[in-house]
Amino acid sequence: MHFDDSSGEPLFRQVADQLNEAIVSGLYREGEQVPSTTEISTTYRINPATVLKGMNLLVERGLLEKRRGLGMFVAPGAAARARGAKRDEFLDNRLPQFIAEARRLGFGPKELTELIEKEYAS
Amino acid sequence: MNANLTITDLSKRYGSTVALDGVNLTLRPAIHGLFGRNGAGKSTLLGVIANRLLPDGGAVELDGANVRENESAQSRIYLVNETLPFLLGARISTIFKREERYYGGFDWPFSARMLAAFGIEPGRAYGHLSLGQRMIVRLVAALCVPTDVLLLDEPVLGLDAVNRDLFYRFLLESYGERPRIIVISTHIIDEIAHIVERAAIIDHGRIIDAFDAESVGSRATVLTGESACVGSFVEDCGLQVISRETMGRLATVIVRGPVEAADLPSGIAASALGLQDYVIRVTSGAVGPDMPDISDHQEAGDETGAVSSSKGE
Repeated sequence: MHFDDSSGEPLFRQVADQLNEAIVSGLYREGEQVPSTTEISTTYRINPATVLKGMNLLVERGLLEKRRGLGMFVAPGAAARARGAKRDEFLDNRLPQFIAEARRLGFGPKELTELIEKEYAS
Repeated sequence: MNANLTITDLSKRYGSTVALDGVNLTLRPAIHGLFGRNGAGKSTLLGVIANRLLPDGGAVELDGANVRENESAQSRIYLVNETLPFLLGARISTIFKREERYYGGFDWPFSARMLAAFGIEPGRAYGHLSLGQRMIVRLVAALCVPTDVLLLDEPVLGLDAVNRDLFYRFLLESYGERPRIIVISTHIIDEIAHIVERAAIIDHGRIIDAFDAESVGSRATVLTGESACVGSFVEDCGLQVISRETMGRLATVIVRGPVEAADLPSGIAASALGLQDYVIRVTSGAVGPDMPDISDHQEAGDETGAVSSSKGE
């Protein structure tokens, strides 16, 4: 996991994003247990309250589920939902940023499309 | 046990020097960071809580009982600072037994695991250890006594980077097992920025800010852009300036509070400050002594109880 203070993104959101990413990439599969609050807290040197807040965010999004006395597990259908969330994020934030940057540097839509196709083919 | 440490209007002078100037702070079980410059009053505050120093005014109460000269309250408070080292001739295990008797318990398996990780033999005499190792022994003792309040004044002084990292890990493990009031005063703020849940900043003997550490990103915003453009934006929005630096036509202005990205005119970039940079900015005196008191005591005590719910995970 990697955390960035200058992003202004609260740490618990960053924890949630990283867990979301781990679910998208299949590191934690559906039905599998994810590490405990204490494990994540001690491994990444993060306050357990912050870790728990991040995990609860994923519970709200239906990606994780609590099982009493056992811990947190990846919910059924979580991978697809997590991927959907990442795609939305890409379309809403990163794509406009990418286009804005390309425009600022003087790339036209045609030139950019050709470059993207070339990159895809490689 | 949900301990509650309340500090009310605490003051302390050394001759004509004011060390604490009306400190108010409420601490609930959480890892708290206490930050401030040399001589700001951090050690004095922790010393008064632990009854090593007597205040000139105000009070410290643990669950409603004044801790001053109060043996039963003091047996629930443990302070590690640069004074009061253990007897030099005593073995580490003997020192731990003494702490067990006074504080009514000791986590021996945890202490053995920590000493092994730090590479220190429990049979060695305290006086034969290096300064860094002595600090480690005191930190191990601190994490193993069953007190409700743990005050760590410059806990990583003299520890190498690997040992500091190891200590932070054990600190979080210990806290995860048994949430309690832990206060850490340190100058190496970057290293514990993610470890503390609450942060309090002390300056010239006053608490000038207290907040949730993870919300630090919204306490101040760095605006960068063409000097006149940034200047008029700050003025139009009535933003409160913490510091201002210019380099040619480029200005970097730090203002209080968050700035919505949508409100930003083109040509001005906004970013957040990490905990250490925030502490530096608000204690460096860049704005002058008439900087308003920005503490939010109401907020100080309300959401820190959330951590106790992490026990069951």
